[in-house]
Amino acid sequence: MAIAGVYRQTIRFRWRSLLIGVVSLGALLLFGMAVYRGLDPTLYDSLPEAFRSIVGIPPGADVASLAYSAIYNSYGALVMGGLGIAAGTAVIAGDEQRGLLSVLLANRCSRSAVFWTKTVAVLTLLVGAGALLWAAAAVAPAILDVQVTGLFLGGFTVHLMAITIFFTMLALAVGGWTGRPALAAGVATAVLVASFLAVGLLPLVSGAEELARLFPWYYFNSSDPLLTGIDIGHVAILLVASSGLAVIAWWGFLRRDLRVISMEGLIPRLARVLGARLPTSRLAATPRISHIWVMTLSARRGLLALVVVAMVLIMGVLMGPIYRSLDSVLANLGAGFPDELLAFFGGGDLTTPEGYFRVESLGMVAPIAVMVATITIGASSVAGDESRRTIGLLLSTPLSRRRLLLENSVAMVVAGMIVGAATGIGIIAANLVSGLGMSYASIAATSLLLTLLGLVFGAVAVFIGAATGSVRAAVFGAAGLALVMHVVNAMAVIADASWAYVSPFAFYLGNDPMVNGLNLRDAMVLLLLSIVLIGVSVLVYQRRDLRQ
Amino acid sequence: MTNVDVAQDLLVTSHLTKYYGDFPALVDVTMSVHAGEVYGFLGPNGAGKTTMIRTVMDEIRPTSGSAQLLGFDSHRDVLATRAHLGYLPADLALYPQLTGRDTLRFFGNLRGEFDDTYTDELAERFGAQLDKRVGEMSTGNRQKIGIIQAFMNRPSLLILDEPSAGLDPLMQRELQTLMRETVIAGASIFLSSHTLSEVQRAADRVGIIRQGRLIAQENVASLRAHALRQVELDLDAHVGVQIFQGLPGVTAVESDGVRVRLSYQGTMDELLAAVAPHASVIDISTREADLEEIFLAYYSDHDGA
Repeated sequence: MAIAGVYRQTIRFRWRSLLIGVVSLGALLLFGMAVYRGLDPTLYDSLPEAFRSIVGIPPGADVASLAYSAIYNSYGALVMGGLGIAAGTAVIAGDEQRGLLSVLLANRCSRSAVFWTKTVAVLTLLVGAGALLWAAAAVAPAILDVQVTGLFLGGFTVHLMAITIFFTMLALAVGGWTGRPALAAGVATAVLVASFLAVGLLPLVSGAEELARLFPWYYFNSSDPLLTGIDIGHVAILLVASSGLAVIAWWGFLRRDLRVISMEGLIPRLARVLGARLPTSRLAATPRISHIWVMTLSARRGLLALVVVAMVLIMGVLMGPIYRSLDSVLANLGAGFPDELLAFFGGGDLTTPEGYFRVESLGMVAPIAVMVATITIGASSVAGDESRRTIGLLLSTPLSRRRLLLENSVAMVVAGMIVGAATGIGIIAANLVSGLGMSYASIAATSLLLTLLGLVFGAVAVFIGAATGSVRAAVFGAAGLALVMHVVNAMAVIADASWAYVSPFAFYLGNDPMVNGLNLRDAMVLLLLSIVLIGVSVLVYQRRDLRQ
Repeated sequence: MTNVDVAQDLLVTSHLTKYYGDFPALVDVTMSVHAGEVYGFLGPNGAGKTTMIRTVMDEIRPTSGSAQLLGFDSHRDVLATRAHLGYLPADLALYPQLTGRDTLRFFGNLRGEFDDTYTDELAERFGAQLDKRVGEMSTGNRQKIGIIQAFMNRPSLLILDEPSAGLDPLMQRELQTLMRETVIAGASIFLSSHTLSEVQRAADRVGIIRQGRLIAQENVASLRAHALRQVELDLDAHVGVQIFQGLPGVTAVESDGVRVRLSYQGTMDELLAAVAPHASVIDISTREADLEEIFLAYYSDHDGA
């Protein structure tokens, strides 16, 4: 039966990435729990209530709850949200762009049947992933002989799955209406990041607490499901909203024309509507310009513009005023926090603007932003030409594989520098507007190290792309490694272990550049690591058969 | 810029072999494309045509053997050849965000030259839409851009993999004309196709590949001369089929008394000499086998082997 085949095929194409994500999270949970097991959790009880609330430490925190909070509550939700967005984007808009949907619909399957079958298949996978996450959460304490008391793992997993389904359906809705996978992934990711930040920050701002309710993330963890169990109301809100999005996706998909294969992005489309010709298009077509890196950057200018605007807005417009409205609260908390605790959030003293920026944005949001640019461009350039099948034509010109890889690496480096600079400009703007008194040299040093950190993982994406020719492998491999390295660094700092330096993140904020300025050794290590990775990529790329 | 000696063979392979694991995609292929000729490379789907081209283009590396393009090793001296090479891959993919003209300029710049006038001339011949974005073009119009980019720098050697895919008959004819003009101007063309009529019209020599092995390589004229012909004889007397069955080169004899139809490989003198003692020939008609029949004959022979 045709529809059963669609269901099986959707499962077959999507299960691997979800399984890899779940297994990685399970492994990280084990690792995190092992680290927390070596600490004395009672020190967290001595923290002021306001501070515990800000950083999300539950009262009576023990080893297990700290590990679950650290791994599943932040990384887990972000990773599962990302995987859900990837699946929601791929099943309709992705298949449409690859031309698969036309072939599918030429069979005895209505659009509605195809849509709902694919949606149910994705939901099946998400429920399966949730079950595995719950199983990993249940097994990890037994393996490490850690006592778990008073925690609602099942309830927490239900909340985690509900938020994952919400973002999956959001991507599905945008993809269903537009047939544009990049737009679907971009919008859903932007909502995820904005929502994550807003729910973290708005409750701290007097008078703005209730605004957090406008964001889906609020219904994921504001009720503390790990400690209190399922909040039926919150889960229902997420599931009803998800159902609404699914119906919207179905309606949009049903009523519109299927797209011919076209890669026009949002910005070129807007430019066309306005009758403008983009400078980057002119540049690519200018006879003097024959550089691959210009083409590569030009193709990703929409993504870059989005990340740059987001970073300038977050750093320059949001962070400064929020700090100003919080500084009295933060000052009252005193300075007696254990460094171990803050390490997980990027370390830093919350009572100072430098520490606040470090904890709230430089620890996680800024690396994600710069890596979105470097990993995407690193993965989609070298491996992308193979998957787009443009590689044969490119290499039929006097262009060596080495030069092709190096020019694409230049594009990745320029993208990293642009996002790093945008982050720095945003912090400088906040510094000026809100009068925070931070050192401009330290801001520049932090931006430089952030850029170099992005280049390391961009170079990992280039390496995996050069070695495999697979964009998916390069993106998931580099992003997965970044996740693992972030956790390793956080756990090592918490455990005060020297093995933090196996992680590139240790060379980014390890010496607190917002306070101490540039540590040349850190910058050199990150730079050398990137250069070595690119060098090895050239060797690997020159040796292997290219994919057809 | 590298000097290319166009008097020599422009594409030469020597015992070229490519295995994917245990699967032999290309086995011991030795062939050459002479200066000023169109070399047709024939074979059914999966025979190894594209593997051969990708190996010669250094996209994949041979398990053993070697290839030379324009007198240079196709792997070691890869860049030396590229400015003089035109390439159209099968299943063409271009950058969808660029217009046709931007695409041609981009590849022209990479090759080191871009002749607007000649490009416009080619675009006019093929009716190509240069100001439309590639992503919005039909398959045929995209293919036209691919053809123009292959020819636009007046290369010494063109490697064309299924070039007429997606083109309408008028454009296919225009492509044939362009290939002929290009060869007359001194270039060589390696034309891979499974469209036999296309190769028959364009090629001077053909190579036939089957399961990765080159099973024949000949001039089209000689291939056809040696090929089976359909012969029909009108005789003035009844003649039995047994007279023909023993003759060398004769197969598939049918007779309705005074009209005999047979497939024959050989000279007409021998055939007529065999008939003469039994009857006079009133009329004779012959039809040369086309490349398709030759191709099928090669394949049926080898399948039976």
